[in-house]
Amino acid sequence: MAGIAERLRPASLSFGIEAKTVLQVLLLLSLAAVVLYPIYLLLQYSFNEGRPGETAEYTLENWRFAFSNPGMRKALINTVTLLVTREGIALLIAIPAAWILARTDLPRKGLLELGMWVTFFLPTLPVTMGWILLLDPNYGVINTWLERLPFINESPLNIYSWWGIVWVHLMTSSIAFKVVMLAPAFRNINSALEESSRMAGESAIGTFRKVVLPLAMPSIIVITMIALVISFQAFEIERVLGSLRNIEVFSTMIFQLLRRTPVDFGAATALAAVVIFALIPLALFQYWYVGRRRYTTVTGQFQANLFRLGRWRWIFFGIFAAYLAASLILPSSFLFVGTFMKLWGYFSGLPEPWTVSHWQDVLTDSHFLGALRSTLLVGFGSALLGIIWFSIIAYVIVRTNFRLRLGLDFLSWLPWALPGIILGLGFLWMVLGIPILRPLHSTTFVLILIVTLGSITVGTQMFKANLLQLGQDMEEVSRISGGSWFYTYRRVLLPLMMPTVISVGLVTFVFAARDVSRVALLASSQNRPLALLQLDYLTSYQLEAASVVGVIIILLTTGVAVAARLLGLRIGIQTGA
Amino acid sequence: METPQPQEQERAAHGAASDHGPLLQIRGLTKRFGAQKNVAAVDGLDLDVLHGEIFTLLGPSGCGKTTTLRLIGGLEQPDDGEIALAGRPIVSVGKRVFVPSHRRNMGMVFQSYAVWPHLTVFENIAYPLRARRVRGAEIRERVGRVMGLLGLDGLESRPGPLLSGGQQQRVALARALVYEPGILLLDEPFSNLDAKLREQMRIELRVIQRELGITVVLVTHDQIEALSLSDRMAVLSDGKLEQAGTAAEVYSNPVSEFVRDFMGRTLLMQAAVAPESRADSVTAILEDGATLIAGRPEGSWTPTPGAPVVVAVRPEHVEVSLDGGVADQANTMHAVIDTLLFLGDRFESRMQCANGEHLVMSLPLNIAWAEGASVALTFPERHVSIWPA
Repeated sequence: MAGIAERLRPASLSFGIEAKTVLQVLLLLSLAAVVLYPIYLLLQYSFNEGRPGETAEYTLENWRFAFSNPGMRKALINTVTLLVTREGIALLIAIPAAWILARTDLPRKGLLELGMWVTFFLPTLPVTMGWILLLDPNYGVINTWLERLPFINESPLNIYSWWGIVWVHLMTSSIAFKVVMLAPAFRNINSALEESSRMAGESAIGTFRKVVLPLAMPSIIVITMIALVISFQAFEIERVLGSLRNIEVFSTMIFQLLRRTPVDFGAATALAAVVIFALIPLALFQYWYVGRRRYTTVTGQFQANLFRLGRWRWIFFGIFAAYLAASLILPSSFLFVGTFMKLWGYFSGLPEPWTVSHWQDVLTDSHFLGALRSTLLVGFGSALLGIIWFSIIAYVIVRTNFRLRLGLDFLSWLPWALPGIILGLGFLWMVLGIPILRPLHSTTFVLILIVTLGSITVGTQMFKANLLQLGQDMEEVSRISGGSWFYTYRRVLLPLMMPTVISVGLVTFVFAARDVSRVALLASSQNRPLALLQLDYLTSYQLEAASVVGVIIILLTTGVAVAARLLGLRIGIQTGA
Repeated sequence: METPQPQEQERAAHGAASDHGPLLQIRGLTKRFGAQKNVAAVDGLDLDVLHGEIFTLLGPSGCGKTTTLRLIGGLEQPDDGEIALAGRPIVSVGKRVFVPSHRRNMGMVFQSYAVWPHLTVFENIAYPLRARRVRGAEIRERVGRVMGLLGLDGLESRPGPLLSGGQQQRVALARALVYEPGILLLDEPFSNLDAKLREQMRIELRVIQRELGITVVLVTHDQIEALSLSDRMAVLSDGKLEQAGTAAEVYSNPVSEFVRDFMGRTLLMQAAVAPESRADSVTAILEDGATLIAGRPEGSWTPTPGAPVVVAVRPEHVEVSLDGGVADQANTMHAVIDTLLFLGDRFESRMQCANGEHLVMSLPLNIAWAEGASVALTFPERHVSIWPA
């Protein structure tokens, strides 16, 4: 008893400037350096008429040029109509789907949810190629079949259309992303709240509308926000499917400006800047909405009774299975089949249509092994960096009273608003412009950094949601029983958040492995990842070889996803019931 | 109420042996919340906690008691004031000192227990020792000892979520005791337990505290818990100290209306001071004209004839008998039993007095009470107190 005073360390930390504050400021500055500084360079450049190296001439010429571009008005309208249509449909489907997955006795839920994750993880470009094989107006398999029906004369479906773009979006990430993100939010609602509404005489649907939906609303808002933001830079699908019929959107307009000779970086940057400004009110709204209400946290009294679907069980199971078959199995298996075709897309008409030569060509290509190595290095590197970086950012935003945490929150949103190619450009200028950074030029480290930024928004949001639902006493009891902040972070916070840690690591890995636009300007011939190899094949019209690399990327990303997910299910928190 | 003298002496001796002055000294402690820092949760609080005692912070929710405990534990930083542990400041706004939680060597049990769900019982309890880099063999030895002390033997490998509420509480307590902290902080530790378990844990805590001689600061809103466990207690309201003292002192001599109404049950009646009042006994005229003689006015207040007052008496001091049983003494009123509830070991009753006021009190089982029966209520003079209205 008498020894307490002796056990107190004599070096009491001073009240004003704590080590914690210093670390928080450093965190903010590091994020600002990799996010704000490239944007600053871009904005500066958008007002600058001079070429790099020449004297700067500041004018509004780039901005005027960008917005007087003849297709601009149409592109803006297309962007908004496509976005509203697909996000509206996706939300209508995803909200009830996530609830059914999380809160009912749907059979094989684990498998179905895993399927949703894999759908979300599928790289867009290969899947789009799969859908072209199925729905091309000339040789699409589904069209060929439909034409055999007696009352149909010409191919009824055309993938190269406005609805084709919506369809591929819905079948890739639009629905699946919302379902996998919303399911945890529904899972964390105490079922006693639902049950008391049922007891009070409300029907299942009335309870969903009046109790469940309002409780999940903060998550729905945040997830819709994320979806809207990425929609601005949705690029590959629009580019591949829209170009035939001149369906331009905002992101393809930027791309066109970047493809002109000479490249019009200034005007492209001016367009990209519009997205940044559009993001500010969105981020502020999100911050205000989520901040104004208290979260219900998971406590000891938590109940998670499942809603019994009765005979609807297998009907809903059938719907989920059909969606996964259409989104996952159909396009990827056709892409796989495509890799063995002599002439891509032509299933009939050739005497001997099948060959394995494309696989041989790709696997013996001298660039292939290097690309695989680079993809794995960048993928695992960014997953590790992402877990540490995003969890600390989320911790500072949620748990501390750091005065600049709103700024930190905003910075975590910014990288997603920027088209990847523009961010890559900003990075390139930053690395080349600052002498001490110049040795980093075209190193794998820079690739890891920039692809990690590609997951910063979703990763930070996932950690934030988890922290908000984790009672603060779990940490406090560690602090008071002698654990320093870092010890607590390592032994309590990360283990408790393990399912989220694994999910964030996965998302970061997958985004890194399939990233094309961010790394395009930064990779050297030594560290070009697989996604760029695929793009190289595509742009040189080696569609078959591109399919082979696409299949390899799919196998890599879904393989890691399935492995980590199965592992995660086992090491996740064991719940009592 | 028995006199707390022997305990006082023992404590004084213990205190002198180990240290001079209180173990924990809180001066001018202030913590404000809100965007403009305009809501004072703790407002200029002064407290002393002595070596080896159970000191209770009692008050209704929102009175600042949990904030005070968190300030002691270093989970919040105060806006003003200081806290000294064994004479050394651990927090001082003036001297710009703040010792972080993990260096204060205090133990804490949270209201929710906060048993980590990703660790087993053994790992939960071993955590503070691992954080202090204690060796493996010693960890096993010390965890085993504290698990034995708390009756947790055999649960070593049970994961946190598979424990009952009572077991979680014991794990939380074991985790807080295993490193022999200088002070044990308990935040509403029994509020999530059912009534039986709560009584059992109260007794167990008392036994363990005596055995280890550890100083405990306990936060509760439950006055039974406070009265039964505390050596000394402090009643808080709106972040301010209302009264501090031994449990007996605070219960029988409340210094403010807040403490009087918060501690135990009190029957209150509106009255006016009668002209025949003397300095040592005040006569009060109730609204229906009946008179009550009160032993003492509260505090430094001197009643003037005609002034409106409140007459207060603890229900357990009221002598109740069926009408006609005994002759009326002084300070007797009549009432009718309005509602009678059988509680097993006693009755709970509501009386309607002649003046229309309702009084709620317990009645013993040994008399044949009935709803509608007339009763005589006698208020012993020395237990009746008079307060300004």
